[in-house]
Amino acid sequence: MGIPVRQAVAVSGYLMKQKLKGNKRYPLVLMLEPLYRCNLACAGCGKIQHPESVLNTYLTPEQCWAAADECGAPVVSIAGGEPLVHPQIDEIVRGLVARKKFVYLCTNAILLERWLPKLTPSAYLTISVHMDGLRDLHDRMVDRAGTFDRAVAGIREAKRRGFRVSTNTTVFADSSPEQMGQLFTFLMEDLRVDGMMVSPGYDYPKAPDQRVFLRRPQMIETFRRIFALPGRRKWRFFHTPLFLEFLQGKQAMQCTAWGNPTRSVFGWQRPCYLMAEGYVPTFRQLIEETEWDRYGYGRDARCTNCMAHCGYEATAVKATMASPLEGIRAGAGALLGKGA
Amino acid sequence: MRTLVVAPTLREARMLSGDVLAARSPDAVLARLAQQPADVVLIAGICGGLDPSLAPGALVLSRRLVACGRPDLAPPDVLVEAARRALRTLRRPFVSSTLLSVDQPLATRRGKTDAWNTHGAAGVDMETYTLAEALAGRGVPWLALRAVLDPASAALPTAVAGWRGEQDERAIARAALRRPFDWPAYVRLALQSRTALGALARAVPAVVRAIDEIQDLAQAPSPDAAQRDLPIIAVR
Ligand code: SF4
Ligand code: SF4
Repeated sequence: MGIPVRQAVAVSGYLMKQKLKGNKRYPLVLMLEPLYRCNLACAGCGKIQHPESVLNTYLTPEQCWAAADECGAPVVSIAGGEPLVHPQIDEIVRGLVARKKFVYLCTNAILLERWLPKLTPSAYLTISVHMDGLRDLHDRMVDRAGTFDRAVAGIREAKRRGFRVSTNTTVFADSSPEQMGQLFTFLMEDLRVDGMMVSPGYDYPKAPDQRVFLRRPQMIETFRRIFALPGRRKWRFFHTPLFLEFLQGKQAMQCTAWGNPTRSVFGWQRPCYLMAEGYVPTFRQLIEETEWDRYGYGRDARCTNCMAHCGYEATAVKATMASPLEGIRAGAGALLGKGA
Repeated sequence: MRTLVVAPTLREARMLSGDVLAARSPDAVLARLAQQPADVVLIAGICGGLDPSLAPGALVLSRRLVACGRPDLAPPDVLVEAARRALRTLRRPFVSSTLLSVDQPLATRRGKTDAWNTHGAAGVDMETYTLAEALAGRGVPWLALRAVLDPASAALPTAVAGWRGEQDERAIARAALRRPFDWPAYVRLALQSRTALGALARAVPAVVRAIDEIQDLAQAPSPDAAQRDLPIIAVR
């Protein structure tokens, strides 16, 4: 893996506290969506199909901080839409870092160079850049030429300024294992990113192009081939070894949707980041009133092709904590920065 | 509504109250129905766990049945919804999910993981599909409820892989005596069996009561249930 040691220690402490308190369901990562507006329209995106009135609605910094306080997760992933379109994103990030939250600012990096001077490097802040492939594949997936080059320039500038930078790659039907391998090697060796995240695309019914999605058996096959490529040992992922094994079909896991609760402009989204069955005004209502047992692989048809980290990484983290052997494996990964 | 509870083994049947038939073969169930008709058949028993979040004693309510190379089967939504409501009031862990039927016990972790990845089934057993298929063929509404015996994370002792019915249990006991290293696994299995059968014994009467209260089996499913029954792909 390669999750920063400070974050690994903080998350372990948090998990232990939850265990001691006897909490059955607790959040690990708050998925914060302060807006749905985006400056791209990717083929596999299911987030931006809203009327203008919704796209024009942004959470205020105070609402974002209140959500972080209310749910208490140690990690906050700011997603969207494109967070850098939000005019107060620097303020939002500052407030979350001040609360000692490990913030992942997810971005397509089109506006990154413009925002970098307004952000401060911190051990609590990681800029997570959307990277779906090398130039041709990435620009095709995001449906705009030149986006790959902007993202690369943004990553280089962020690294130059001392930011921790990770990437977030979604694997689609068009992404061949070899292309993914080349991308990961480029990100690690040329751009020297601190770590990478990877997930198969979720088949959002609203996504403009349904042909881009893999089915579960194909996902497993693709990830097996990706992780069998030479050079794999040099890749560093911000994932637990268990999650990476799950992607290759070597570990059986059920989704832990409540591990990554989502707060959007509509409220707390039920049940997860990917599916929107409704919204509730408070985090407590989300946790206590949702019939969690109804969701997950085998339980709901809409979960059949979901192997996304927002559903399964929390399961992997919990399993890692529960097994001393897995804990040692993950700890060694964090310290040595090695891939699983 | 008159409900006949069908338990595949005598051990399971003894734990259940009401109108219970111990039978593994569809012919025995159909013969009993010919003598004494019932409106609904509830297939109840224990199963192997495939959904890794389920511990021994967790209940699996069938929303769908799968068996390799056979068409999927599904019980009427109205039965599933009634049973779900009843199980919720029990406050015991349960899921409404898929059940897989196979010819022999899935004894290894690897086998269970592969079955989970392929079918997305929460539990695996050896009888539900053939029983339900025969019932569906005669137009008898059915529902299946299983309690997890061995969780997905645990392998079964080697000799148990040869289990095809209660008649094999003596041979399994003899084989177990010859393998002392497996004894802890047998003790664990015996404890898990108590937990699973206990959970089943509490759940079945609640589900039977809920079925009794249904006025009309042809009732339209709730929109929610309809949404959930989009076809699930899961064949490799
Ligand atoms: S996937 Fe991300 S970058 Fe692409 S349109 Fe959706 S929100 Fe924007
Ligand atoms: S598996 Fe979990 S994260 Fe994925 S769509 Fe279903 S509930 Fe959401």
